[in-house]
Amino acid sequence: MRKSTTKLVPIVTLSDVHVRLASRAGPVHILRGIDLTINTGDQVGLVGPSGAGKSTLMMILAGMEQASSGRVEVAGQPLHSMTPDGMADFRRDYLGIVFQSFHLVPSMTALENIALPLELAEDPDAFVKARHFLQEVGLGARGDHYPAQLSGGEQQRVALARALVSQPALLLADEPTGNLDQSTGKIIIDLLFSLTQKHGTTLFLITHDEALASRCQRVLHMHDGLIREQK
Amino acid sequence: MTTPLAVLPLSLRLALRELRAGFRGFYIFLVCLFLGVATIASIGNLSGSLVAGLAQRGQEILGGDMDVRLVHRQLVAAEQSYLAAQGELSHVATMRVMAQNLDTGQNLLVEAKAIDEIYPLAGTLDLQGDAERAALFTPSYAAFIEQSLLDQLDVALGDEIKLGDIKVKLVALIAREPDRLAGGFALGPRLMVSHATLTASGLNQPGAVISHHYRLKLAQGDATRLDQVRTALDNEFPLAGWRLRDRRDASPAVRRTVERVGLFLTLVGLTALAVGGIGVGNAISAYLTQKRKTLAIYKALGARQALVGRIYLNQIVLLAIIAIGAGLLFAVVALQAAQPYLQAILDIPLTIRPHLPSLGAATLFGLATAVGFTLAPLGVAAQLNPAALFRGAVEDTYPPLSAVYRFAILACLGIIIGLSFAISERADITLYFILALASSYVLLRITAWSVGQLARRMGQGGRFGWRLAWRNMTRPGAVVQSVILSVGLAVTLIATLAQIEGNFSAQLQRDFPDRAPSFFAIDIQPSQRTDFVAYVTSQSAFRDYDMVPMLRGSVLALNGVPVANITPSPDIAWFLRGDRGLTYAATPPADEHISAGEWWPADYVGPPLVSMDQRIASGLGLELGDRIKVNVLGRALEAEITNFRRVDYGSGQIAFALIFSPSPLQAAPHTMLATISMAPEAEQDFSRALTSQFSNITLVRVKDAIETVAQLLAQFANAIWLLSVVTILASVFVLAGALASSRQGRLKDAAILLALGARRAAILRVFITEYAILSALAAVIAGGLSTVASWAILTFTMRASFALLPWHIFASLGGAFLLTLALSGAVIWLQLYRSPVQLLRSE
Repeated sequence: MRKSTTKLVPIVTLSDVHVRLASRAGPVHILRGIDLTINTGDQVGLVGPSGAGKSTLMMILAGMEQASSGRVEVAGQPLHSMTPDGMADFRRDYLGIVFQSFHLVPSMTALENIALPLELAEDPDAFVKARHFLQEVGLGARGDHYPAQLSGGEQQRVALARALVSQPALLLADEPTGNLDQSTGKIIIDLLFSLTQKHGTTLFLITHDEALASRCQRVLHMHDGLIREQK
Repeated sequence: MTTPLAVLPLSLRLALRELRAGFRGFYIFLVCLFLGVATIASIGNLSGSLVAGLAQRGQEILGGDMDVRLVHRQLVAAEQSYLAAQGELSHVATMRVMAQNLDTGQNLLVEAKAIDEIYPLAGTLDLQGDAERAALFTPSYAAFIEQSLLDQLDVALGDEIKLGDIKVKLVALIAREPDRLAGGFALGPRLMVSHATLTASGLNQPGAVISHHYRLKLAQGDATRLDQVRTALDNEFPLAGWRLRDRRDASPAVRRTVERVGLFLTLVGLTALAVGGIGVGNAISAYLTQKRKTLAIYKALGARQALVGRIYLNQIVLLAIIAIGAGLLFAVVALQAAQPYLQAILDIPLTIRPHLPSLGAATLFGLATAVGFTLAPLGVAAQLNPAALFRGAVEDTYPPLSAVYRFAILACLGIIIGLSFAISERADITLYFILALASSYVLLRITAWSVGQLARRMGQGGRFGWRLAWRNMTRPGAVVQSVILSVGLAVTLIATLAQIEGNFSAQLQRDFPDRAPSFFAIDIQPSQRTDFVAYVTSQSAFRDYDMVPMLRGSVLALNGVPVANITPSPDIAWFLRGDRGLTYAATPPADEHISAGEWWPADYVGPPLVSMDQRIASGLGLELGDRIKVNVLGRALEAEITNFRRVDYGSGQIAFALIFSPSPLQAAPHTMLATISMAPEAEQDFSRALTSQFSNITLVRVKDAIETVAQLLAQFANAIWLLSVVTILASVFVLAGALASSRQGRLKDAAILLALGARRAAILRVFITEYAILSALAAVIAGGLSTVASWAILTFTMRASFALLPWHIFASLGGAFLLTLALSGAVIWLQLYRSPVQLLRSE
């Protein structure tokens, strides 16, 4: 089996990770030497101001961005040395992501959106499992609705179901309540914590909200491309 | 749970899911592809149907299973009996002669045709009214004629006209002549008589240019039998000098014309497809930009690059199939509907049926264009890493296109080029076209790149509106390339066509008549020579004349190699086909230049020598000292090439590719050919008088011949112009697509400018200035490209002279510039009219 859920085993190991991006205005140094270890089953919150590099760090962990230098190992996979297709396979097999802007495919129904990661993994029971997760997030009756026909909270629930349906080792959540009102946000967060606990998924949560971060076992602070403080 | 589509590959399933949202964003793609495919398929279907029609009705068009043609002479007894033993044999003779109104003396060049009682062996000769064909074979002289003869000679049915030495009664109108097409290019109306009548007219004198056709209907006319008879005839009578045709290719001249016109029209259609391809590329680029987020989601969820590429390629191929299908359907249905109209124009038997090879070619052209123009933007999008896709424009350096995509683009290009050659019998013309299109494309892209560089500088200073117009050209999603390429290519085509047509009509209708003589006189008997010259030169309106001996013969071999084994370059292939006019002379023609070798002494007597057109000789790889064998009146004559001449067939003067030394040919039966220049106002009277004086001499009035040719060319030009409208349409759609794709950015700018107090008209001026600069630059480049292209086409392909026609260039470029400006102005005005305010409210 590809996934490991054993506790106290590092699932994320970052050593001296730098990210520099090119742009017409000149290079931008976003991450300036990150060292980080996260154990399997941990719930980790990352807080910091805008522009601190939180989303870039998440992109690095997701294998959607290559580090300019340093070592990145997630679920035993050396992301710093993998090809784009290798990283795509890594995301498919080990990762779930929840975005602030939901990022559902607008031309697919809620059910199809949830089934998508399983379809990519060629799981023959993709739609059976997707329907089960749709019920888990309380949207059993909305499977045939398109994202545009769902509220923001409902879209984020679909996104959460899609992130967890393939039972990933690591769930990355980038400001999952940033586009939601307070009460809807709370429902989503409760669901996020309960489902990750239920499925034993490691959670890496990025947020501006210190209170929300404090619900995690560990809270990291990020500023100007560096993780300056760890509790 | 499984969905009904679960059996499909994942990439196709996901493609279909995305397409459920409709074709929004694909309209320009669909329209551009539809236009190109419909045009190419229509042309291919029409010319394919015409050629297939010629083949299917070959027996009727040829007047039998096989046609044996002899010029000057009839079959000798041995040949006659051999042919008659093969099946039913019918004899038809054709010649150009003068018919004259007995009352007014008015004369007319007619295409005379003498038939026998069993004509036609295939099809039927239909006469109008209750006329009987037997009327032609009574002891009195009678003729069947076309209506146009009555109109032009001002006579009526039942009247008599003068034909050579006799009076012939016009007894019936021809409604349908089954083998009309096999007769080739007609300079006058048909006049059909019996052989007895033609003989009695005295027109068929020794050496007169008369063609005898012996039509053979075989008892068993299958292909094997046709080949057997052809081979047997060649073996049995190797020096007969006849031309053999069979029903499988009854009218090669018409077929070649159809194929060649089809080729030119297809090339114009391909230009429309190339312009449309830019629209296809732009549309896909805009679509993928709009789909960046979805692409990123696929990748974030673990889809590999290849899968993402396939998802969108599948969508594009599915849509291309719809557009191509619609184009093919249009080609079949619209042509079917237009069949009666086309039949009337073309005067060729026409049964429009789906011509599968042409439809297949159009499909491949469409698919290769759609995929080829799609792969570059798709490759870039599929390769971008998902973080960049989510992030938007922070990272604006793109990875180079992967080898797979580059190879696939080259493969599509290869298919388009290969197919262009495959459908063309003139590889040289196709090559010129591809080179012209490719260099135009490259030059316009370089222009677009240079404009981008220039815009960075110009955007730094100057008045606000001017500066902003230039800066708009450098922002992400700018339309510089789309506008310059689409407008540039379309205007290049239009201006090229305008210059070619302008040059042609100037030469044909102004320059040529100035140089050309008033008349060509044919079939002058050597015995009439002195009287003829005396008569002509005594006329008060006489200006000049020239007279040379005239025979006809066909080329048999070059340096001992039979012509059947020689593959000439396409532009001179006509020289080895059929009969050529030949002459002999003691001295070189006064107005032709000897480019190599020496002319023979004026009193030369000895083995035959020949002077040859240099261009034809070099096309056949012949050198001085080589030998050419021709068949004249059934006798093989081999001559050594002693010199080359530069021959100008467009001079309007007598011009021969081959001029022999006098000794062998002057003893052969032949006639004289003369050119006569008269004062234009006296031409009609002179023609009447000459025909009265010399009834066997045929006069071809050059003005009438030019008129006939000009009418044919005008039909061809009209067809090309009609098709170039498709290219303009494609370019308009590309432009509209570019305007639509840049709409969002423009609206945002406009909204901000409006909020800061700019007036709508001022904002409109900024955008119009941008388009004015771009379309003016595209037009200027197109002006240069079209001038080079028309010069090259006229000089190298059509062997015509080129003159710069500033007014034609200016009219094409100015028209295109104004059209672009008006279109972009209207679209931008409509976009700005309400949307910026709405945008401002929503932001």
